[in-house]
Amino acid sequence: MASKSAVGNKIIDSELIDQVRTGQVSAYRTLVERYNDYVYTIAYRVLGNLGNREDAEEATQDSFIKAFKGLNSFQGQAKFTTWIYRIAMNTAISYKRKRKMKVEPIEDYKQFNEGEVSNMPQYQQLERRKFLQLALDTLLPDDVSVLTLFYFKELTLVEMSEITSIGVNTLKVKLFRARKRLSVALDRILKQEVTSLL
Amino acid sequence: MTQFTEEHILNYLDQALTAQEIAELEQEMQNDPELKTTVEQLRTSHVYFLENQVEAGSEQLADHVMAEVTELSRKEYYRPTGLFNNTSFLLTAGILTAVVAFLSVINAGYFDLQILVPNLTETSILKEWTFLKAMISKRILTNSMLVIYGVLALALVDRLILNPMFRKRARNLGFN
Repeated sequence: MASKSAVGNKIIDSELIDQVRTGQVSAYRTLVERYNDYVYTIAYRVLGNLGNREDAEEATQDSFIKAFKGLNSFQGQAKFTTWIYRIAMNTAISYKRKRKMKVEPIEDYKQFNEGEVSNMPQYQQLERRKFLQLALDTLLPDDVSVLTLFYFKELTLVEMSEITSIGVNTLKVKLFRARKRLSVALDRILKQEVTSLL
Repeated sequence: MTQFTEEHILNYLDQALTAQEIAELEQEMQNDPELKTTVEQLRTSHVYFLENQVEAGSEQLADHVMAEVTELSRKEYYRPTGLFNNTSFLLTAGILTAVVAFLSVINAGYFDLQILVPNLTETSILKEWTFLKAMISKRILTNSMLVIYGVLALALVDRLILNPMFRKRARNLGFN
């Protein structure tokens, strides 16, 4: 993932939005490609292991369509990312509440069989990813959203506050508690894993 | 010695402590196994998350979104929505109104003339230019103009106020 300059993106994003508004719909592709991974990450994390990759992709696609439909109402006072992340978060939470998800193991983890375990760095990262997602699944969707946004590392607390509609001070407390809960959940999962291996 | 809270520990992980605070915390961790365990626990989830900040979405997603977006744009989502950018409705309404109004004026004038001149078809007035003038009733003409203005006013209200308002409402409610 290439790092993106927030300021640079804001200018370019606003130009792209203007182009879309004046009828150059193809300009929207750049926005989709630019934020696809971020929006997908929000959906994937919030839907968690209860959903599968297809559900997260559907929620991602839905988020971009909603954003397109509402582009005329986007004032440009906030960053496009703030706006699209908010749509993504609400869409994913809505999906999680409304849909009966089928429980499936995280699919990337299944790609590895015993013979490939020798590829340790990649395997280890997938293991960590799996445990992280299992720990996130024990948290509330709001907590997951806050943590996901926090670890994007490009958003200020004020921007996170705009996305989540939570006051900055409350958000700080919520973030702190979510990190604490996550660490406890992850610790428990890792201990269970160790026990199962013994 | 500072009493270290979990907030301190998280700030430590986020590298938001001063050098002195870091040194104090690390010193305290050596003396306090419980603190060390807490730090390690929080560090683990922190590191796991940092390693998995962003998931890779589908490469085909942009294609799928653009296919749907293009379809939506055909339904006038982002066509310029000014009064004269989509003229088919106005043009049709205008032509129909003008034709109806013209026929009304001519017919009304004709019937008015028949009342005044019972044997209209037999008189030489038919051959004269005054016949056309006589056919045009000023009263009907005025009424027809009012009808035309009324229709145009309704079209303006529809295009400039009602249509955008209901479109926005439909979008907000998630229709379309």
